[in-house]
Amino acid sequence: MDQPEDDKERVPLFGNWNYWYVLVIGFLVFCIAVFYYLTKHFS
Amino acid sequence: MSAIDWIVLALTLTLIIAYGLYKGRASKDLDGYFLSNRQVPWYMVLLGIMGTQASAVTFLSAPGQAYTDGMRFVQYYFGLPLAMVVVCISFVPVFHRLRVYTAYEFLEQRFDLKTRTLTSFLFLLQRGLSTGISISAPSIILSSLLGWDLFWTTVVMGGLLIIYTVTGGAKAVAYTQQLQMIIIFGGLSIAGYIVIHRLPKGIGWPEILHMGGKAGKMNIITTGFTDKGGHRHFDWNDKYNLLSGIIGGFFLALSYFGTDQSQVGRYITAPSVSESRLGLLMNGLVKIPMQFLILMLGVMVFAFYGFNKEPLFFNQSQLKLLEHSKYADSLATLSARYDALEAQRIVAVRSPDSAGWPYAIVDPTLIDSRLQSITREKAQYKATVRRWLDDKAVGGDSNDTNYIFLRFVTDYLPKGLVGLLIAVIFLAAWGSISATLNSLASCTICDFHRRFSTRTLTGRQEYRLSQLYTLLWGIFCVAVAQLVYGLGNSLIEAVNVLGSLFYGVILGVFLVAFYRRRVPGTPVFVAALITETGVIVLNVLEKKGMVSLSFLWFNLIGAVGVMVLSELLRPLMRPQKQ
Repeated sequence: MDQPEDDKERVPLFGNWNYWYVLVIGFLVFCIAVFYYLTKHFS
Repeated sequence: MSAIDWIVLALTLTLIIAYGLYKGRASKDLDGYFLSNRQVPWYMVLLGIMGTQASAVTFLSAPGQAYTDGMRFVQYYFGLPLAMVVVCISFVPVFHRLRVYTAYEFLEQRFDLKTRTLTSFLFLLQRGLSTGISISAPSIILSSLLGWDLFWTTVVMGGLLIIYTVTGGAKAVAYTQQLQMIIIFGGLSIAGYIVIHRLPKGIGWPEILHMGGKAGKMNIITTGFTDKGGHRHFDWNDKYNLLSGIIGGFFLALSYFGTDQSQVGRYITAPSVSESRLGLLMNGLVKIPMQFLILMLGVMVFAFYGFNKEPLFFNQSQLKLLEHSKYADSLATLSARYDALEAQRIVAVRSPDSAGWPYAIVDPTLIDSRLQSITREKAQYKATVRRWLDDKAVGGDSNDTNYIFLRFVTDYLPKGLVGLLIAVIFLAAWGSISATLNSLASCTICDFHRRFSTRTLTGRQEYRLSQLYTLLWGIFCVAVAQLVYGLGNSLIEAVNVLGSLFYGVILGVFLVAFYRRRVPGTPVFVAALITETGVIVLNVLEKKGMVSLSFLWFNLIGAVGVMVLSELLRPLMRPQKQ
């Protein structure tokens, strides 16, 4: 996940866009884990 | 609908048109008309891309999908957050740096004119037709359920939004989408509250989830593997499972957000790469929970009908069709028996002394013998009605999934709120269609008119011409909607299949452009033509039952096909443009 050279704008909240990407992917994993738990628990 | 509902509906739609006209004032040139002068903040980009993706069918169909098939539809969106990350890394910086009006403009700079023209043409073809279908599908559902005239429902569904879209362009689209999404979420939240409020005392969230679970509705995660002849194998025709959701969904979302001008046209209106990225990444965070909640509405409605009379068939127009068929007398007898049975069932399930209450309502193993026989007989009656509708002599539609939520709304929501929820359906359609019309016009003028016309136009003339193209595309889409009525419920499936036929190939061209720097235009162009033909042939074989493959995989096949073929063709073709 390289930072494009032309993108020197300030990154909101975190210092680097890579943290944002990790957050989005991490949240996806979290959602799948929660859904898996709900599926198992209520089936 | 009552007079109050009509007033609420008319006021809401008028408010949106007036707001669009008021907010849509921008500089009268292409920058103002298609890019809002690149001044749209990230939160409006977020609401714009959400409003563009969520059509009327999303809100009509999803709760019904959960009601009949369970929550597993949410897996369809698992690839979306991954696609958002890739779009942010590779697509957004390039589109911003080159300051393009359309995504396909970039392909001319990277490859050549013919590749740009081909991809833009495929987009116009696919989007123009699918938008017509997107107008038609909710119009059929509303007119069937409410008895409205189909022609005028379609005109309102796809026509009124043209007023503000033609006048205000991308800026009007962005501002109205913002207000539309607020009204949509507000309306759905109220509907959800009312479902819970109308459940018997002692029934809350835990009971709803347990009831849904025992009825197989909480199948949120499924693997797609089935047992056949003692062997476990993956079902490639299964549309919604973890693998197809992550892989197929990723390629679909990447195609849609990275190469479909209706989405690209939303996030290139942001003033910077950061604002575009933030809007897209926020979409990656909120889309799955949002879709989960919309589906949960279906499970809540399912629990509601556990304690209340469930219609014999949700789409009343189909019952009317049977009333005028050879099954008219049988239907009358069956309906009377069904009503009596439901009355008995309601009395039984509303008494907390029923064995295993409240889960006995949905779990046959807990049901006492009386409820068990009622449930079995009820299922038989429903199956009989479906069988009659499938009779070729009747020519009916036995799938009533898309009517479930709206039927609940019209039967059980208080006056005024019915009008608001009907308005929600219209606004969802408008948000999606207005963005598409804007993108169709931008491709027509930027990728074709401006590119091939020898006459130089002033900014003002181009602005006027853009308005004209938006109007013409609006008329075209409404006309397509009027022509495709005969397809019935299969319209919704048709939109998805049509998209998947072209998306993969267009994505493949973009992926080569970004990641295979040595490949020139001609091999990509030829690879795109060959792969597109292959995907269409595959779809024909699938329709004939010769291949078993869900349409979601067409995106992957198209994208990989273009990438591999263009590499293979590269040594054989000399570059036309350095």
